[in-house]
Amino acid sequence: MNFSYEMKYGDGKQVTGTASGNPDTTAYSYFENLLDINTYYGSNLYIFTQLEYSDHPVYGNRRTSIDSVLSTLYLEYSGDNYLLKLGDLYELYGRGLSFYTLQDQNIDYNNSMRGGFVSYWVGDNIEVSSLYGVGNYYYRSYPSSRETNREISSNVFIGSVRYEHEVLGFLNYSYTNQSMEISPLLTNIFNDENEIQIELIDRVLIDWHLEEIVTSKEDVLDTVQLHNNNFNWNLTAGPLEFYIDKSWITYDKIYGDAVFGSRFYSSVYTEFLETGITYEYKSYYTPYLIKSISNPPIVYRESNSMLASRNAHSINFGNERGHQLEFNRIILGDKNLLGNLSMSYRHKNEDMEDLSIIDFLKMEENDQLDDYYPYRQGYIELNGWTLNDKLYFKIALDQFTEFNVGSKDVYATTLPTQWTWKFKNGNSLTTYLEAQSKTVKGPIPGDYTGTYLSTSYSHQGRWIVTGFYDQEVSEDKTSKWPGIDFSYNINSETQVSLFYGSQKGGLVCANGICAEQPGFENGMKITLRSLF
Amino acid sequence: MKHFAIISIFLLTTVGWAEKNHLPKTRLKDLNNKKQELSTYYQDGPILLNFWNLACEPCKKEMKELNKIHIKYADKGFEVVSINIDNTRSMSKVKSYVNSQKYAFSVLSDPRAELFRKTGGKVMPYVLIAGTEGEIINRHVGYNPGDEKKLEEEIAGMLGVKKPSGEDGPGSEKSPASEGDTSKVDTAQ
Repeated sequence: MNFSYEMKYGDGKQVTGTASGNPDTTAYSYFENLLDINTYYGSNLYIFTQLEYSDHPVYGNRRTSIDSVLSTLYLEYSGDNYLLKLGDLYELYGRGLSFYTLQDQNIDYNNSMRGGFVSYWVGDNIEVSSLYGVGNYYYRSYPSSRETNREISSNVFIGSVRYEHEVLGFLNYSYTNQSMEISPLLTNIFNDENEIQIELIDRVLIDWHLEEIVTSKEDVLDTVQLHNNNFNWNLTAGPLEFYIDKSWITYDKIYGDAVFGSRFYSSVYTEFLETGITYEYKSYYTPYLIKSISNPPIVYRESNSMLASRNAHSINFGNERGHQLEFNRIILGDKNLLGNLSMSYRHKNEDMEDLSIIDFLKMEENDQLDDYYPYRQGYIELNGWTLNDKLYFKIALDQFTEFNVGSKDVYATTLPTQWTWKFKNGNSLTTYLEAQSKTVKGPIPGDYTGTYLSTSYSHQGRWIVTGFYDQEVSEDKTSKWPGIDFSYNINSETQVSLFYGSQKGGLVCANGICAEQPGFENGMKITLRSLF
Repeated sequence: MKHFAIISIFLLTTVGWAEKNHLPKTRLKDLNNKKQELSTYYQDGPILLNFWNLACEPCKKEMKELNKIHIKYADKGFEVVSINIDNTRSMSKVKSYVNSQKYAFSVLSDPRAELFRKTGGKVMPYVLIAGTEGEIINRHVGYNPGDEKKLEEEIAGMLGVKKPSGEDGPGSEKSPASEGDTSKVDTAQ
């Protein structure tokens, strides 16, 4: 039996908004406890349980009553050629164009369905599976909301066949039927400012029935039906490895007729002159559909640099095209050189001018380009060990440009570096030093310069002390967030850490979903992690 | 109903307490899309599993040291098996990274992090050592300087190999092992 416990405690002040010019603060505290328990009974039956007691969690809704403590439960029973699952289902079909349920505590995201899953193998190369589940999907109207404030209930059925062949590769077909119940009260669908609301309000002018619903004080429910036929194929042909994933989707507009949409994702990998090259392409077009059970690939690089990650691209899963090219090779003996170019833009509609891919690569400011909400990011990194494996270095350059997000254009250039020096006896010093220059053009323009420094000393892996310094300089203000952290490894499976100071808030993004973590001023945080 | 479920869980876990932790029976794909039975890796000797993803910097540094340990103790039947848990947002880039590093150990893919969860994983880097029956001998969370030394001592002890005195760490004399990063652990998906 495995137990995994994590406790987070924090007490400090939250900066109201992340704008450094706003000095207002409010009390901010959290006390989050997560206990995962999982075990096998014999070699066939597996049970996973997650219990949570949080008052408040770092991010998300309070869980203090006995009814809310059990956050996840599922059972698996596996035989020689079959698998049964009951409970909270976390499943992935293809690359998630039709169905991908997952949990991510960092952004308080969980789109699991509760139900049953069965999979049966016919011989060695054919798998037939089916899933049925019901569930509520909770989300936020604004990334800065600490708690979820919107809710959709739905049920889903999936039937799938997968075939494996030595020459043809992997082929998978799945059919998904989802039925979503939209409540104006729980979704605030007529008032939240977004593309769905704009389309609904436009329709109100010509649809008297919809006008009645809008003006009615009653919560008139609408059931949205979705039919998704998904086909994916993974093939290796000589030096090339292909992956193709396509979904044909028929779905109802909210309070409207059925429309047709599609999602397409493809990737190619090859090695050329000892360089690994990966190209990815996406084309997602399902406007006015609320995404709940799918999580298609984002096709851009999610940065793990502290400063660069504050400029995450906000993907529009309902209307976006994009390309990503990445290369990876060893140079100078054993140094690793990595480069990445990502870009995306919306599909063209009749009101928009024709633009070529070169226009999106150039990213020159003009109204025609702005209509596409274009994004482009370039990244290059060199890392490796040197000085007889005593010094590790990573030097990178990140260039981010995005237009017309919230009627503003954002340019950011970031220089993330990392340095580690090894002493004898396993002690070491690690420094993350980053600098960023950012320009925002739009209704509230500004130029910002950011600096981030953290230095850790690790003593034989037993205890680690880290100092943090984060600074942002704008035209009229300098803001600083200093902090210190002490971590102690009680044993190989248990670590406790204590932080005191301030931390700048900002976006934390995963899988194209972003949560705006609040800034933290003059406070203390304690984290305990243990396996037993 | 919820009360009943919670009470049932505690009863079941109490019953399950007596069970010794084993690696589950599972098949994972390698980077060439071939399904591999996990048990085939530990039937001839103990194994070390390390779970990682591309965003986890300490994991990548730890893997450099694990590669040395893998090479050094391969003739004793010991093997490192690396489990990548990148999900759909980054899994297409894993092969490119692994090939560039020229690791000697096998890399398997667990995009839904099922094996990671089933073995108690919560954060990365996460390493576990298992014996020839699949029994889990020890687990290590996080990666700090010097950890690979303790890890190597643990492995050498398990294999009945006496570690030569004065040796600086795993691998060759040319590249004494140790790693600067970090107190950091990456949160799993």
